[in-house]
Amino acid sequence: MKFKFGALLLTGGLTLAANALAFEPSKPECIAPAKPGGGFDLTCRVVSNGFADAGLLKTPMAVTFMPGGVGAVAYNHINASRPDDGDALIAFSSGSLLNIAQGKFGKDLDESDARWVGAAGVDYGAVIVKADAPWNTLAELVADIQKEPTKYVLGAGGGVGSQDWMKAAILMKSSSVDPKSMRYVAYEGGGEALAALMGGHIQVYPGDVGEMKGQLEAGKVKMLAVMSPERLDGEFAGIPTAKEQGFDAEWTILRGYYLGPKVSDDAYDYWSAQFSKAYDSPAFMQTVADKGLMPFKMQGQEFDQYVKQRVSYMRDLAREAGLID
Amino acid sequence: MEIFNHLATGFSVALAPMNLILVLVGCFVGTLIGSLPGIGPINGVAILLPLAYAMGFPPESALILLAGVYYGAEYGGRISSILLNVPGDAGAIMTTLDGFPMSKRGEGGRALALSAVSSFAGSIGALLLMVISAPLLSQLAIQFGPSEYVLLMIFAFTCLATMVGSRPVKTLVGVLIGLLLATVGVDSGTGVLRFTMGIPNFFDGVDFLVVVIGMFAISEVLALLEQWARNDLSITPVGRSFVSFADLMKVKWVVLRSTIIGFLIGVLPGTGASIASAVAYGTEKRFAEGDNSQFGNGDIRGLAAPEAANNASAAGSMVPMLTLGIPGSGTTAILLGALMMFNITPGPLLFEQQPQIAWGLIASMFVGNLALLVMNLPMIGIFVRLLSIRQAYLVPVIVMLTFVGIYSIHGDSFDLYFMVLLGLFGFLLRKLHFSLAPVILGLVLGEVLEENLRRALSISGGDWSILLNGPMTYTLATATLVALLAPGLWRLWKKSRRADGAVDRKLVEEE
Amino acid sequence: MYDRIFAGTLLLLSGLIAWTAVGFDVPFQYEPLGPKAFPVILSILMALTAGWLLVKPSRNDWHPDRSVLMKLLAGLATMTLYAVLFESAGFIVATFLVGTVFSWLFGEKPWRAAAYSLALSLCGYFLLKDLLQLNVPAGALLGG
Repeated sequence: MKFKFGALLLTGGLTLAANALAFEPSKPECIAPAKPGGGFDLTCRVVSNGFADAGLLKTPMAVTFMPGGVGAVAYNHINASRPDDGDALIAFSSGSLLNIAQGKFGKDLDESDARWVGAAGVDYGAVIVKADAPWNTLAELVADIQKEPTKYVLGAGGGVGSQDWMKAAILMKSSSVDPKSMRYVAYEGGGEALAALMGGHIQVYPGDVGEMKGQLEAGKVKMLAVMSPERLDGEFAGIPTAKEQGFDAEWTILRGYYLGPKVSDDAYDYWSAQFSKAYDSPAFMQTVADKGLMPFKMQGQEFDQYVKQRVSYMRDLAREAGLID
Repeated sequence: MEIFNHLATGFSVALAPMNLILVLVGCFVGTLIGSLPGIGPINGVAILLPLAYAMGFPPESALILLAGVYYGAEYGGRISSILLNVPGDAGAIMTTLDGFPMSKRGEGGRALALSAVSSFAGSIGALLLMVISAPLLSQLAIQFGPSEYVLLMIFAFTCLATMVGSRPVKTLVGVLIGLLLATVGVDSGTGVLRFTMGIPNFFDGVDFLVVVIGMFAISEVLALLEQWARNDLSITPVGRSFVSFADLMKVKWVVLRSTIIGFLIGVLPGTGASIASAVAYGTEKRFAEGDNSQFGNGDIRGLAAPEAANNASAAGSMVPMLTLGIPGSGTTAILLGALMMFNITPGPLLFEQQPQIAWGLIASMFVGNLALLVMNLPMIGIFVRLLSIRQAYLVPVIVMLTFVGIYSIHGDSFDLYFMVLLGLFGFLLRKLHFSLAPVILGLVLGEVLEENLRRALSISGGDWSILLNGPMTYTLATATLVALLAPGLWRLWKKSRRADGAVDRKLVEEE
Repeated sequence: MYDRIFAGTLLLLSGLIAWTAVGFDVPFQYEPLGPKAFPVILSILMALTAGWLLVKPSRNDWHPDRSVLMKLLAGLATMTLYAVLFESAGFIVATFLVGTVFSWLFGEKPWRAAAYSLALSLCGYFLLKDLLQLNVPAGALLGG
């Protein structure tokens, strides 16, 4: 056994010299750190179906589930048990990054304990009200809230410090209302918050653009603003950004993948190259669109840097909001 | 009638040969998966989802297959509850209370048959309710705000107050343990970590299934070991018992009431089969008081009620998913995910834009339930044989299945250790004559209660009067008062009637 | 007796819970209750009921003798072992070992217990992993 292992190393070393992309996953796997059916599941399906459709996989990629703490369980598991497993991509979202920024992924783990490898796509925050609400622009809504911050209830799918709360807080800050003085209700996930909006229990829902497609078509809700840097394409083209309405409120929901912190450079480069090929494939980009995401093409070192930047930006936000010291 | 046209459309989809086969396959696989302890409808749907996708079925066929699994699992969950005292899934916990005592008496066949019929009646009743009232109900369901949930939970607790156990104080302790377990994890309001001891596996709270399987299945294994060591492991009489017409007549109103309760609770987002079956059981126990009640010792009413209710709630939870695009339970969340994977956005427009999917699914549920009844009744003889398997062969299988089931939730050994620990705890509770069901219900109800109470108060800015803010809250508060006072009044009324009767007889005698 | 021990433990536990709950540090909250109120109220109720149980315990009818205790401990130890081996040694090896012990604990002859468990672990592996597509660890034996 020992001898074989040595030989393997040797051949490994030789091929490495010959070809930098010698790595080939034997059992490619995408770990969705949530229960089946959620956003992380969709993120994993983007890579497992999208890579397959684009002809980038020799063996089909399995999707496994490891729910817990917006990715905390998976992050800890990878760091503890298989930090060098080059076969496993793990899905993450900016919700995971926000928790890393607040130290909620464990005391000893931060953004440097993973190798961020590629993006699946992005979604953006959106300010959503009921279709029969009295407001037609963000400015009207904000004016009313400024007058009586406690009269209108904002509600979304997470508590203080969550991504949804951040959207609400950023919106309040951009309209110079103290986030602490707003009325905010936390629900379990966007679905419940949406039900509460339609039932009239809350008046404003800072949700995501992608999930609102069906509800918008049905005319049940109005989207007062998208929280993207620029206007979106397609069916959302008619909706102004918060920025162009004069409110500096942006929130990008990033979905992507990381590898274990001790994964070899070979494996990292392999996946990075796969992502860059995938972004050029119309089949892959179609899968991305099918899963309700907008294109965001970034991989490898550049992506790693980008993610780390986002985390430190989020850390500043959290500090500013008094969530961490 | 427009509804009949829609249903006709639906049945033409559901009865297409391909879809008919799929619904049968789904029901069969579902029953199988549901009967394995710890592996429930969520697993079943999650397993078949990628498969259905990969096989390239049209969306309505895929959904029919998955709904079949969902339904089949609800049927399958009761088998191990009744025969082994190990609930197959969360909705089947209440089924153990009277189902297992029945099978211990040698009436396993009767219990299985009765539960199959009750499940069937519950499903069909709920489906009819759904066809008639889905759009209206989905509007009502979203009107159901935090205050209403708080009062519903209080009502559920009063229903449970006298539910089970040797001493009320022990039931209370059990509920409190469950409620405290429910507080573990990230606090949904403030994001603060509560009682997690720094363990990331607890961040999302204590997993419900780990608690159920640990406390029921693992503690059952320990109990069996003890019985074996004491040499009083009586071989359960298998018996050839079956459900009788008299049984069915006795439970017909029980089933009807439980169906309605189960359906309504299922429609509400966030409350599912476990709460539905608990409320139905509690209500029926109240109704049965003084009427030769054997609840907890193998009363057929105590078996029929939760079985009708949990299946009715499975149908009910489809209502908000199909009409509003809001999942009412974990499993419907997956079905929703499945729809999204086929690029279908469920919601208000589904019935208009893609009637073949919405109505095909509803029609397939009728077909599936009929198939499940037909499939289940003849198989009872085989299921009951489970009891004649020697413990030396059965126990390794139970242990294996529970470990695989729990491991497959998170893919992390941590849950296995926690499950064994909970098994020991559950065993000790049983030995001290605590009932386990209140612990589980405390765990389920506690989260809904706390979250909604705090939501209500953050909407009102701390004003408690929000809890009584409309007709629905008044109704629920009244129902709670009735549930609290009814047994006392009932006893008083009976006493006075007996007294009257005594007077009457006296008069007759004097004449 | 056991009731008293149990109630005493609960009493201690409720104190610990209340103490931990009071220490929850919240940046800020939007409602009067916050994360502390519920656990604190529950722990007070728990302390009251535990106190009640301490004063008026039920009569105990559980008298495990040595052999029963040994069996129970053996069962617990085996299941803990299963949890340890499940991931590290893989499903087949772990199920084989643990199944054998359990079958033996319930009175089967050792070699028949082993034969049965071997069959169970192999069939179980392929049924659960391949047919039901569950997440079953293969372990070192199958190179996973």
